[in-house]
Amino acid sequence: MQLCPDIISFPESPATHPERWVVMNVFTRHCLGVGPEVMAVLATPDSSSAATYRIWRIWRFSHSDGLLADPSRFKRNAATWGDPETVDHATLIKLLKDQTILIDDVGSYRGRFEHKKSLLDTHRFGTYHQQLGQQLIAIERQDPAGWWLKQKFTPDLAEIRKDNLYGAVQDEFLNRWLPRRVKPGMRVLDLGCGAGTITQKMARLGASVLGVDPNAEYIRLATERAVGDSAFQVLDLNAPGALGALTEASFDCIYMSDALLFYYVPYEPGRPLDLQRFITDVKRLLKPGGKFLSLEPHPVFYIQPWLGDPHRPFTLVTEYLNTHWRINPPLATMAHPFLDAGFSITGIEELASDPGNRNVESRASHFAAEFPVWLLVEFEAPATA
Amino acid sequence: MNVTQSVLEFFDSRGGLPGSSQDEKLACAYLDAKIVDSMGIIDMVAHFEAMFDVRFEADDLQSQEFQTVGGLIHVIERLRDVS
Repeated sequence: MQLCPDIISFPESPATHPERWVVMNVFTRHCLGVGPEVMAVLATPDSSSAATYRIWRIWRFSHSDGLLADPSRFKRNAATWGDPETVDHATLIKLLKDQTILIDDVGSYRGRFEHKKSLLDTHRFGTYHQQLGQQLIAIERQDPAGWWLKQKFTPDLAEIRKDNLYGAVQDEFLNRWLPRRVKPGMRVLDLGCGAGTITQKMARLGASVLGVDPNAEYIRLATERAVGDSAFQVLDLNAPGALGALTEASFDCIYMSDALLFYYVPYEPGRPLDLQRFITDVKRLLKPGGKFLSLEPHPVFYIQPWLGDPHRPFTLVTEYLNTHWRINPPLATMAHPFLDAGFSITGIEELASDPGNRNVESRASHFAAEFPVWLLVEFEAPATA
Repeated sequence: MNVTQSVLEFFDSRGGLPGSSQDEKLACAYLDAKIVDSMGIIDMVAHFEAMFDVRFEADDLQSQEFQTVGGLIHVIERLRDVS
């Protein structure tokens, strides 16, 4: 038994509660609130230095509050911790091991940085999405679809929330950008239209829009709120051949947002969607030269707790737009000069770590597999000068 | 209602457990053996809660015990004794 090498400890509210310390595993984000007498145990786990120990069970799944909530995963304000539990040495050791603060050995601990095998798999730490799914479905027993919608839309599903990045970034962008792409008379398909929020924007621009979604209740709401030349129908995009119900080569434009990612990371573990069939359908439905507009979360970030400043509860483990320490440009900065010169992007590859590669320490390969390490882009030169 | 019998019948209805003896069936880690898939576990939990009028707590669901057929039966029996 030993102290895990990934541990940090800090007093959470030293001015008001100097006896309340947080001990946290920064990679698994397990943690325990402890009295200072526990610190001696961390140094020498096998020897008992006090009769009893104070602990607070402060771990919580902070993402239950939202996608962009503080990811620190513990009760940040020590005043909310309540009274401590008093435990003996053996109980303390068990709790510290449960929270991966003490470990048996580094090898078996690092072996746990693997994808979860099921919703009840607590041995493997899994990815953020798996942890979220496990918490919502298996622990809180709530429908993850409802949780996702709550992140993006107001409770009546009438508009995109303004109080988070969906409104501040995504919706603001669409308001500026859609008028440049969607023209009066254009025939548009809104795939996965939900309650029709974006469909309305495009119909207001004069397009003739068909919104489709698997959820009959959303289609009812969308129809009720329809503006301009818009129509809606229930269509389960994931059912094989479902898009075959729509007419070939009938759309100038197909729009889809925050949905394409599920073709890459299945919404339900073990039940992948058929991306190839989807792409074939999109090609079939578009008129020649038509556009598929896909607006998706950018892959190149990863949220980490930023301990200490409650106004900046998280930081990103990337400096994608801030190239102070980097020399490779962001994708758009790199691509625009080529596009302006008449090149087309005909291929793009993002080279990432293979988590199955046993030549690399498992934790490093696991984490590096979650973002691209190299990028290969294929541009095609214009046919004429 | 006999918990062991009912639980074994449930798994029989899902394609059956590997092994010929009851001990082998009880030792089966039904998730690893893919008798129940990741989402199917939610149906299974709801099924047993309704059948035995129990409520699995988060600690039950996350326990090692819950992951084998025999362990699952113990958890149900324990919850039934309490209620």
